[in-house]
Amino acid sequence: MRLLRWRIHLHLSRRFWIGALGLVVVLFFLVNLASLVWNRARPRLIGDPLFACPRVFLWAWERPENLDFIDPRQLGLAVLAKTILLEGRKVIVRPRLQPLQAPPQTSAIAVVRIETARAEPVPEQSREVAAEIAQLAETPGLAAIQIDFDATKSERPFYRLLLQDVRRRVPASVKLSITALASWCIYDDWISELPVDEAVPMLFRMGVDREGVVRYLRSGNDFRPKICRYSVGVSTDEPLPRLPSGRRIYLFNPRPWTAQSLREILEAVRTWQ
Amino acid sequence: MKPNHVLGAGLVVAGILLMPSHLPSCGPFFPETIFTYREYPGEPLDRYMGGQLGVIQPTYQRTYLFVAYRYLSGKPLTRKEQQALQEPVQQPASGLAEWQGARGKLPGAGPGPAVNVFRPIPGSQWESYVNCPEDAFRAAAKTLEQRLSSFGAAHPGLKSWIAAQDAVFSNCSQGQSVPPPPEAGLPAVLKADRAYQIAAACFYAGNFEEAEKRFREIATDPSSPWSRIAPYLVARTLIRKATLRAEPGADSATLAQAETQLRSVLGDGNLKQMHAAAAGLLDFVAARLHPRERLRELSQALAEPDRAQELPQNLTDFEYLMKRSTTALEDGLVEWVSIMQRSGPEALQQALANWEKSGSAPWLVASITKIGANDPGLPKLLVAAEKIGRDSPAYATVAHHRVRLLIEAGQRDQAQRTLDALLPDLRASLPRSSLNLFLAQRMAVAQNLEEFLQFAQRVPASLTYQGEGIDERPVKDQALFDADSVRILNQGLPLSSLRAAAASGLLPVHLRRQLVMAAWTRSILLDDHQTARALAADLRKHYPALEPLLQEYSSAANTQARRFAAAFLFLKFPGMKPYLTSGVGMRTRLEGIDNLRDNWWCSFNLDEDLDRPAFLRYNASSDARKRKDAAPAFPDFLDDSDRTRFRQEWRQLLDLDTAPNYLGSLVVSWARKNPRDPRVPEALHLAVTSSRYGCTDSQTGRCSKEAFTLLHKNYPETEWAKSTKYWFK
Repeated sequence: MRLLRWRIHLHLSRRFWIGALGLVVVLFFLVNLASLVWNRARPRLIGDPLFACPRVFLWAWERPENLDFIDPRQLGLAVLAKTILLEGRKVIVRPRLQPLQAPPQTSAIAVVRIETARAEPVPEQSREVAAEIAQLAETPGLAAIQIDFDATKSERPFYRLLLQDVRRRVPASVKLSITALASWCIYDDWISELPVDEAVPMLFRMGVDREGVVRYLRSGNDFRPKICRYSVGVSTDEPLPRLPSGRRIYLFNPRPWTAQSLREILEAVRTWQ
Repeated sequence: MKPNHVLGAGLVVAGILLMPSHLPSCGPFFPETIFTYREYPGEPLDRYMGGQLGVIQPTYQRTYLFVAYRYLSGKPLTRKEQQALQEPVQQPASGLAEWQGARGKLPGAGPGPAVNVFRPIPGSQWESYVNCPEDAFRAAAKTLEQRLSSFGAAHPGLKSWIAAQDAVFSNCSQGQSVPPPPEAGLPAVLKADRAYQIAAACFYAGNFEEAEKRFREIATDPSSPWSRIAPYLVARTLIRKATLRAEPGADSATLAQAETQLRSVLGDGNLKQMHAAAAGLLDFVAARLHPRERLRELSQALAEPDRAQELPQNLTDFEYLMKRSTTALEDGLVEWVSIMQRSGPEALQQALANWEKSGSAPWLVASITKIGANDPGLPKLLVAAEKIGRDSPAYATVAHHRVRLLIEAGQRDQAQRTLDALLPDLRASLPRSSLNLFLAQRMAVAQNLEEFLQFAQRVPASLTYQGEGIDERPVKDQALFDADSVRILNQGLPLSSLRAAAASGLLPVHLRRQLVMAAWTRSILLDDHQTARALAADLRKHYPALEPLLQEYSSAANTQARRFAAAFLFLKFPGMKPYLTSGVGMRTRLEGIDNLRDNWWCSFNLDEDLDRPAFLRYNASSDARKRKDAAPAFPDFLDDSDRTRFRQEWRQLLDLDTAPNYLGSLVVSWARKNPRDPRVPEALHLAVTSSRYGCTDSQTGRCSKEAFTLLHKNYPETEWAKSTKYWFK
């Protein structure tokens, strides 16, 4: 009797597993097909830390900006929220003083610009700076904090220390982004091991590097560190002929945004994505 | 320690000590030679402020147009106004430091808690404002010192006074601290201080209703030392209430209340000490509540002399309102500045209508600046323009535009005669910036090459690395080529004219040197070895380092040998170029490699101005845009045969590759046919180097690889092969 029950059980099991396997195969096929169709329309990168955010972010720098006209489903804002000047041993913090208007549901990234003057920053300053940056994590609905610091070679140990400190202080739900010189993402990779979710290669105002970077990208090459492969930063006055596809685009405008300037640059952005 | 060790150590220490403490982190910065200013009249400003306006540019910033308007309308700036406009803005000493210093005088008090003066705007996600200005700390420091002197440091009331003030300042960045009511037994003045501190704490905490109520109470208490400032603070509270909000723009109703309050302060003779501050705030309110009226008021105030004290602030308000002004205002200064800055037929018609109506100098200047040679209104305007005398501040501007209109109308001989009559006087009286505009006109109507060269060279107004008015450097009294001169030299004259120019005694040596280099290089590219040989003597004189290579070129047996000899010379001297650059141009030595890749010229067929800094052109070259069929920049005097010759030469130049490719191909071809030529290994090495540091394109990699392969295959043991480790694409 026990043997019979076992046989029946085994028999049912086999049918069950075959059916289940078939279902999994069909589902897998359908999901991949849907993903293919979806990605064709809106390419996204696997592992993108800000996958739920719009594919285009506008940088809103320290000047009055009225961005009431943007569509928050399509565009997010990376807002310069603080500028931190490290002057000698002093840490001077200047919050945003210029008005910014935008639709209330807009996805936002708080940007902190760090500048140094007179002397290299010292480790003790990193705690104070990290605390200032971490304060921004309290902003409601924040998608990420982005740090903009063109660290020289000698400032890199300080920056590394600072980012480690910021990462410890900021909840994991708030992603950490940094802007990166294109060279950091191509031949001078010192950022792969940094505790950040995203590094945005800045593909404008590249100076002597521009020619090499353009040629590198035109040849179909991609940025080397993984954290550089989710986004790119470009300027409205320096469009580039070819960018790796599927990236989130951060747009810088040297002049205040207008509906007209936005429309024009979005036309170009569509061809890059 | 040995003496040379001491010397070495000393040098290291000196190097560390002399290291600049502040270097700009951005760059690279290129020297920009300014021949004529566009945004401001240039230093020294006192000449312009004193009425020597030169040629007024419609692109000047509004402040400088205001100055021009005053002189043109016959109301010159007074001495005090001139000084007020030129005085640098004084940075006030830190009020916070004063407060911390005063606090520290009380035994045991110390400098107190750190204060952050910025507070977020309520309801705004991002925006903050300066909540506690420097004056607040300064006033607290002054009051504390007075109380210390009245009561002595040991008085118990002072300790609680400081604690209350700390509570006030703790609200600067966040929080709602309010000091406790005054303790029983405090002297009356300290009780009054506490009432004021409580009101101030509410003010900085953003509790404006409570602050307003308390300031009003203080205002009605004649025994309080704060009763005279309190009515003014009521207005400030109302202004903050109206402007510090998440919604865009200010709350007009509350601003109107502030306006009423400020008028009441200004109408109260007992509050005279607050009148100046109240008047300033009233202007602030008026600019937001009644922008049109305020602009009209400013226009009238600025148009009249003798208001030097208010001038800087009035100009700031003027800028603020003009930037935001959306409707035309028919009022002297505002309308004039607005029309001067605009272009197009509508602005011209308005200027002409105003001139017809007024016949005034400002509107004559505005009209003649905008009018074209075919406009029906021109004859009448020119009649008026002829009456402008030399002593008029409009003289240079009107003269410049009269000549412009003659040239536009095709009356070039007349323009030339007019300029020749004007220039001796203008040379003596005008600043370089304006004089260069006349010299450019004179060059445009030159009747032969000699005249052209005479006026193509101009002394720059200044040199800058960061734009007009920023960190400008004085320039030597040395004439250089301006952009319009270089455009004709590069893209309008045939080689024969360049050769003649290079030999002209009308040019200073340093300009002849540039010309001879460009002409010789171009003659090589055009395969015009007769001209090249003729120029070689001069080239040798200007650049003795070229001597041995020029000798090889001259003694070459045939065309191929000559081409290789020239290519070898170009490879050894990366700064050689077949065109000229304006201003100070290249600073690197001819034989050195420029760090910013201003080496081995770019192709002529890029859609880029040859005079554009090589660094920028090089970057643009990556887009591989081809030169559109740009019209040649022929000067008038060039005859038809020279024009035809130039067109032929230009077509030849357009067909040439960028220098590293052109030179690399020549060298590889020569090397294959003449493998025993001792110059070949070095030439191949340099061809590869040029593909690294020169102006390259997508084909450069092929040339570089060919040269590299040939070098390593045929001459592997040479020092040139050993030092050529890579090829470049």
